Amino acid sequence: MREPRHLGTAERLKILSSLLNGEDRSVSPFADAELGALLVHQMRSSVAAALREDAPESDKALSEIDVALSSQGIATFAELFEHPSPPKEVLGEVRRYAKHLMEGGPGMFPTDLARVIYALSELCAAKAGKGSLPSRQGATATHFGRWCLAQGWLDDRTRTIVRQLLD
Amino acid sequence: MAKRTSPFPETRWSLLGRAAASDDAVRRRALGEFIELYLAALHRFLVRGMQIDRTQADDLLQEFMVSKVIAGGLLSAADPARGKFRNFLVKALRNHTMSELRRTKGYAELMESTEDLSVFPSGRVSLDDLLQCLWAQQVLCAAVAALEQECKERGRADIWQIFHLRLAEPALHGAEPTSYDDLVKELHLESPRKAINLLTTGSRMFKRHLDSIVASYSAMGADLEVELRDLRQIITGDGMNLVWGIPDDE
Repeated sequence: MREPRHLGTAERLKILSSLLNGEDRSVSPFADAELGALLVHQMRSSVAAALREDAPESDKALSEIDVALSSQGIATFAELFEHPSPPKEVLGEVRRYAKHLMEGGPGMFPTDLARVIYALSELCAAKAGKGSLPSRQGATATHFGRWCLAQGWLDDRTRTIVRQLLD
Repeated sequence: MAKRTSPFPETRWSLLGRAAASDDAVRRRALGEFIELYLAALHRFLVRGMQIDRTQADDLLQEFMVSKVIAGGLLSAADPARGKFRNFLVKALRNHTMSELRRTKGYAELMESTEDLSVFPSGRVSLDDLLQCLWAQQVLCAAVAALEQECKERGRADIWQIFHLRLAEPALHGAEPTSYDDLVKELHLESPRKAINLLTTGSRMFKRHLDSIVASYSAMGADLEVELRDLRQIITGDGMNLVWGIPDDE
């Protein structure tokens, strides 16, 4: 069994700061090295549950999302982004969801994690609407995709999805 | 290290008034509160500040509480006009300790090292600063304990566990934070957002308890934000290294 590590002063001070600073987003409770684990979990989690948690009041729209997802056999974020023709309305909702998280939705959600979800929804939408979207929107999606690939903590599966969407 | 002029932690003089009351029930309750508030910091003061063996510190503190505080009416001698209560209390404990140690072997050696208690033996931190840090840590521990109690009462073991494993244990005891993957397994978390919501709720609850505890220590009318800023300064100062060197077994 691994011997438990004792934290150094700097690490303890960082955690103490996050304790004392409450929801200050500049002091994340998760280290950068852990963003990969959070992303893997996010990609395996349910799209419908995430959207429902984000906007529990819009039952009608969410029911439509449920139908769109189940008709395509999509349950998780990874399945949505890997799908050859993901439902546009779901991508729109996921984009809104990720934007909300990026802009400070629930207190301490890591901005970079939200940015990856946002980028994937943009890339998927751009790929699905190829030829019909303004070129500026395509360029923005490409920019987000490249940003994702530059993140060292991106897991292999997500990296592959981003590469395929950029192709 | 510069001497701080922070009013933190100020004394709850109303508590001392009750502890010196003639009504037995009132006095007993107040003494209970007093012991809860001060015991751990005084024990640490003996161990860290006066370099006394932990077991001996237990005995000395127990004897001090019985003979000076409870039977000796020490609290009724405290006077707000004569400065901070904690200084009065620490001086009384120090005098009691020195007097007790005079009767034990090795006193001469101890006397030499503790004769001048204005500066901590390391020379980097004054005893006053050390005491501030001990208090600061005690306030943090009290806020964490209040959060744990609230979570128990509200049936929110999930909030307590994630807060405990990710923030409280690492901050207070230097334990490595439980990894995100282990948290997911242990708490059956559905998504990162669920984990972060729990952590955010726990942090808000902790902050509320911290504010309330700091306010209870503060002088009347003092600005809570100023008190909290002082607390942050104390916690991020050099003295915390010394406090962190003390095993938590109180």
